[in-house]
Amino acid sequence: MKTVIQLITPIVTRGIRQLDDVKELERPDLEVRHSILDKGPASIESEFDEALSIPDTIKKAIEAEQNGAHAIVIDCMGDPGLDACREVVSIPVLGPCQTSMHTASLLAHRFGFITVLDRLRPIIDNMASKYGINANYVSFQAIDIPVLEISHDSAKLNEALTEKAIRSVQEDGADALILGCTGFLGCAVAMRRGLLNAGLDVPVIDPIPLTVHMADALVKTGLSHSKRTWPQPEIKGLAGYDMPGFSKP
Amino acid sequence: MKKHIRLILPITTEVAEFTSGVVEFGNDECEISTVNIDIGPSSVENEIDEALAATGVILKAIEAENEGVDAIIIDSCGDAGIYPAREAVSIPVLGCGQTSMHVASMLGGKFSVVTVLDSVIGLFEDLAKKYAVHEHLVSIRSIDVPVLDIHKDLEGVKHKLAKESLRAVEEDGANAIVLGCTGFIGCDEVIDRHLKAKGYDIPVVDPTTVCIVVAQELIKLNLSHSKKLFPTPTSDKKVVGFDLPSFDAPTQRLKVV
Repeated sequence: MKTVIQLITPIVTRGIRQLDDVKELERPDLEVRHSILDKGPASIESEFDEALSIPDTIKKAIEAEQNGAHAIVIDCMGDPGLDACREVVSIPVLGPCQTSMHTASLLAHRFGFITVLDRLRPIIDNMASKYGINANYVSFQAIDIPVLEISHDSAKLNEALTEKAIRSVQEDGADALILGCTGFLGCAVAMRRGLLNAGLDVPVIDPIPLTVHMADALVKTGLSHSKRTWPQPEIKGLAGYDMPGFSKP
Repeated sequence: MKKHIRLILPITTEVAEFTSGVVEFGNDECEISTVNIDIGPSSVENEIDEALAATGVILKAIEAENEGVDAIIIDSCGDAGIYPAREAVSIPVLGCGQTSMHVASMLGGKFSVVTVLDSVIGLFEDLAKKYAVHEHLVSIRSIDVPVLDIHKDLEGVKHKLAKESLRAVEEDGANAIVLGCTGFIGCDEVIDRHLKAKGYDIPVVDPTTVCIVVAQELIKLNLSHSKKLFPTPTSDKKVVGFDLPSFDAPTQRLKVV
C-alpha cells in the first residue's frame, strides 16, 4: 500500500515549491501530495510572517488527514504551526527544523544552521531551545538573500552557501550542517562537494528530503506524536476561522 | 541495487528471539543480516559489559564495511562501541539507544525509558546527556529482569513493562516511552494496548525497529555520521593484543551523487 505524505508549503506564493521538486521525492510505494496556503504571507522571514501562516496551515493539516494522508510535513524551517497541527490531527506531523536538528545530533554533535537572513537568528535560537537540543547548536550563518530571490541564480547561491558552510565548520566548530531554508532544496550536493574539496567531511542535511523520508519511516513503524503532549482541542466558539471539525457553526 | 543493513549484537550469546523479528523488516530493496560479536560479554547489563563489548563491535563494524554493507546498527540500547565504530568506518553506524531517544524526543517531548535492571539506570542518564536529550528524559524505570531471562517468561515481562510504562505516564509525567532494551523487541504492542485502555495515546518506541527504518532512510538520503567528528584512526600507532586492520587503505566514502 502506498504511503501518502502531505507536504504543506505555508505561504501563498505559487512556484516557490515546484511540483517537480516534490515529485522527485516519490517512489512506487510513496506518494507526495502538495498544498500551499490560500491565506497567509508571501514568504516566511519573521515571527510576524510565521504567525500569519499558521491558521491556514492548521486547516490544510486537518484537510490532509481527512483526505487520507498518512503523515504531514510542514515545508518551512520555522516549523510554523507544528504544535497546533499536532493537536488537531493524529497522523504524524513533522517539522523540518526539529527533524533536522535531531538528525544532525544523531550524526554528529555540534551542528551549524545556514539560512537566508540574519534577522532569523533569534527565531532559530528559540527553536533550538524549545527542542531541547541547544547544547549542540553552535553556529548560525546567513547568506543575506531573501527567500523569494533564492531561485534566481543557483551558481551564486551554491557559492554563497558553500562559503558559509566552510566558515561554520572551520570557525564555529560545526561537525554537521543544516540547510536552514527549505528553499535550498537540492543544494546539499554542491555544498558537500565544496566542503570535501576543502578537506571537510561533514554531513549536510537537506531538510525536506530528510523530513519526508523520516515521515515515511514513522508511518512504517506506526509511531506518531504523543496525544498527551498535544491533546485534541475542545470544540468551542471560533470567530473568523473555518476549521473543519473544530469550529462551532 | 539491493541495500544491506547489518545488525551487530554486542553480546556473545546467540538468542534467536532477539534476531527473528528483525529479518522481517528486510524486503526486495533492503536485506537485513545479524551477527554476534566474537569476543565480549554474554549480555550487556552494566559498565563493565559495555567496556568489554566495545572492541568486538569495532571489529564487526570494520568487517561489515569491508563486505559492502550499507549501514550498521548496534543492536543494544547501551550503544556499545558506537563512537569508536564511527571512527573506524564511514558507512552509517546507528545505536538503538541514541536513535530511540531522539525519536521519542521528537514525538513526545518528555519520555521515560523502561529497562531491564537498576544497574543500567546510570548508563541511560549518561547516554541522554551525551546525546543532548537529557532535558527530555523524565525517568528511567527497571522491571528487574536480566536480559537473558527475558524469554523465559515473555508474557510476564510484557505485563511488567506495561505496568511500569503506565506508572511512568501517571507518576513521572512521561509523554512517550522508550523500551530500554532491544531484547524487548515486539513488546510495544501490548504496552500500547494497555496504555490506550487507560486513555493514553502516546508513542511507545521499540528501538530496534525504529533504528532499522531510520537506517533505511539514511541510506536513501546518502547521509552518514560526521567524519570530522569521528575521524579515521591513523595506522602508525601500535595496538597490542587486537588484530586490527590497517587504516591506510581509503575507507569507503559516500558517493557525492
